[in-house]
Amino acid sequence: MDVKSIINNPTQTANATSSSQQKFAQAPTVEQFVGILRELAKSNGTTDSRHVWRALNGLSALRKDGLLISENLSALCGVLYPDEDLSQDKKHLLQYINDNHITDVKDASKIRESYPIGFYQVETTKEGVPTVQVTPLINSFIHLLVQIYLLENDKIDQLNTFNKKIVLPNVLQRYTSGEFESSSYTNNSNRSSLDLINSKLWFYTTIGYERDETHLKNIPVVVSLRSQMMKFLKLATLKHDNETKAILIVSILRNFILLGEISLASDFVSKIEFPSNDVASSLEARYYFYLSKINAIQLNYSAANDYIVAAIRKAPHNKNSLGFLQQANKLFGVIQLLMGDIPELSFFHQEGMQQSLYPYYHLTNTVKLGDLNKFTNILTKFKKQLIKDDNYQLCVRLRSNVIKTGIRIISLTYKKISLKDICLKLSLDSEQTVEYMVSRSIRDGVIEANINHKDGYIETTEILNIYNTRDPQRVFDERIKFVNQLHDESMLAMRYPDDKKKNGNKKKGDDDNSMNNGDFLDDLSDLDDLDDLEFL
Amino acid sequence: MSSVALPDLVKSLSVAFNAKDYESCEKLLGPTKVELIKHSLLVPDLQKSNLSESYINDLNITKNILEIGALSSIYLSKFDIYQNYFTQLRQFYFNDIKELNESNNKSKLISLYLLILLSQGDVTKFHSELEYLDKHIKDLENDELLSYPIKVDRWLMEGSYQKAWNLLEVGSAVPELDVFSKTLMDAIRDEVALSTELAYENLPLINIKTLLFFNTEKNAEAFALERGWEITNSIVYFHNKERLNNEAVQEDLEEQDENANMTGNKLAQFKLIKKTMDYAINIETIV
Repeated sequence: MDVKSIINNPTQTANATSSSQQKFAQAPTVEQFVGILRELAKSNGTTDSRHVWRALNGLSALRKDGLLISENLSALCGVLYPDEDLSQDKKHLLQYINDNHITDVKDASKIRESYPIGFYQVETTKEGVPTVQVTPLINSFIHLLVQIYLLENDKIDQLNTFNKKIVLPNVLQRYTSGEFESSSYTNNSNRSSLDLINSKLWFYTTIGYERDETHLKNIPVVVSLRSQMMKFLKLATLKHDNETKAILIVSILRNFILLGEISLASDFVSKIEFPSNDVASSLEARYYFYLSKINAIQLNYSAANDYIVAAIRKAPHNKNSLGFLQQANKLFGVIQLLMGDIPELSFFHQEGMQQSLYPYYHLTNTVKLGDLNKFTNILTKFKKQLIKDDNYQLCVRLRSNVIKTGIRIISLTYKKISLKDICLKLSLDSEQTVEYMVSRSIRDGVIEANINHKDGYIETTEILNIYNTRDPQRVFDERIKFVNQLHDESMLAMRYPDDKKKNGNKKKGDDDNSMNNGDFLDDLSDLDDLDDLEFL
Repeated sequence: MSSVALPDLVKSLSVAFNAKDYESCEKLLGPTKVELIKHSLLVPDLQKSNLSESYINDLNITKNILEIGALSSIYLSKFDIYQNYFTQLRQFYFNDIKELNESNNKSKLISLYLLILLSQGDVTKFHSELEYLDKHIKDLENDELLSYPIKVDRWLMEGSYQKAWNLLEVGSAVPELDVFSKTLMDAIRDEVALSTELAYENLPLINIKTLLFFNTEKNAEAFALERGWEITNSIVYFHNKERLNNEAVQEDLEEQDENANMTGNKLAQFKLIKKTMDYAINIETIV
């Protein structure tokens, strides 16, 4: 039997029915799965989450190689889980993988015996019979595999029922509720590993919901998912499952924003505490992104600006997170404009962003020129795209900024100018309107001028020489203070290095070459996710 | 509906509403709502409504009752009560059951709500609401009634007070929306006054009159005096420069209290020396 040809041609394996043929196809790939599981099992009894991260990285490698297909999964389940009558999980899983079609593997029990002891645990059934079951960690991970498999193959309906009927009650509920608390298998250390997997399970649950378009329009369904998440958020908070807590907070916020319930979202934010210390930085980035969005809509631009900067900084910068970064940069651009700043030209030329920032580039141009007509044209031209980005309402607000820049440019150029000329230059409809707008700009501090109503002109007042005041001294002082503080903090940081960071650095030094293989744990955590999300 | 009381109540309610007797509407609404709760209609159970047509019918009647309640509270100028009604109506307006979520009064009631938010100056809520509506209603800006509050807000924001004023003066297609015109016009006048204070040194009273949309100079004069503007020979002086100077002096005075016995320049010198010393000390630690 030619092993290679079968591996290279998965359709052939799908058609193949004879068990011997299948066994050949599975041997190397299933072994790859088991390798990941072994890694996972290593985290038993330790508080070190490294093994879980590594397993998750192995998972993304599997996805890239296209190994996540029903044959492999069903073979894996067939071998891994004890026989069907003893394991409910097996039955459920197989049902979703390939409609209960069991892949026979010869000597399944023998292979099973060769697996490390860490895969299994003894559980007592309701009747009091001790049975061998797969550990929660491994079991959750297999469920995660199935979720991803369903998502990749666009079986959204199935994914949703799987989430609702199997993942929620059989995995998330079972392992977080009191039942398992007392058993020795879920001591503290295992829970922290489980936390990471749970967070992924939740992630794919929410993705499944969003992919189904009928769900988004069906408000009760969305709200019911939200209340479900709230319930688990409470549990996760009580147990300090930070990763799960973080993903739930982020998903709930996203849920609010998708429905446009901004006031509810901001109420929610004020009631929660985001565990920003030990969660994946990409989750944090998403959290900040949503905060920024909420604040921007509520006209709180400077806070929104701070958050979006934090989001962009925290997000991993590589191929998979590009979608997120594009979205974040769009929002960043709009917020800058709303604050009256003009983004630098280089902002629009960031790698991989040119295309997606194109409409924003044009918007910025019109705001910079202060040309109201052009602005309106651009806005209508790109309306569809802006709505898709969910930024349209924010962009509409830019109108007043356009006028203000227009007035500002004029007042910088001319010392004295008649209201009528301004009116013509900005193509506004009446002199009285101009008068109001100019007086408004004076009030807002956009320009320094006086209006002479009698003769109908405005006159720029003497521009204050800033070097006559104490302002430069104050700013200089602020900067020096900042530099000093930075110096002190870095000294402190060097004196007491963070344990986690130390490990990371050491590893980076050890095998620089394998960086792209995924040993760069901290940053890699959620990359695939961001990719899956397609970010709005 | 099974109860005898409810149909009667609904009937007398609509009679009272049509007769524009809003006081008695208000009185009737209390017991009606209690009845509605008894039939679990006040808060729609949308899972259930998928099943029966009569339930949807009942819900539609409930919706009408709530709309009547909302509108009468507008006529009675009880805006808090209106907001309560609107919260209840939300359940009816924003769902995906076609028979239920449409109503002749929908746009009117929504834009009323937006106007309330505007007249209370609650821009944060206004824009949050707008974001929500944008996601749930198509063609927000082309709806005659819905675009009304949006336009008012936009013009206020960019300073086209005249347009906003004209819009409010002409009024909208429905009388209910005009309830807010006065509040909003007052708000506009305050805005203009605030800008005017800073933009002009002095201004003849007759110009003030036009700028602030007054009909007579007398009204304008009264307004000016209220804001503490000085009027000599029908010319209004704003004195904002002096006021700014006063504030600056005030600040300086406060600072002086902390460092007693030092004035103006001396204080500045002292501060500068102190800061420089600080820098020196810091450099010492670094090097």
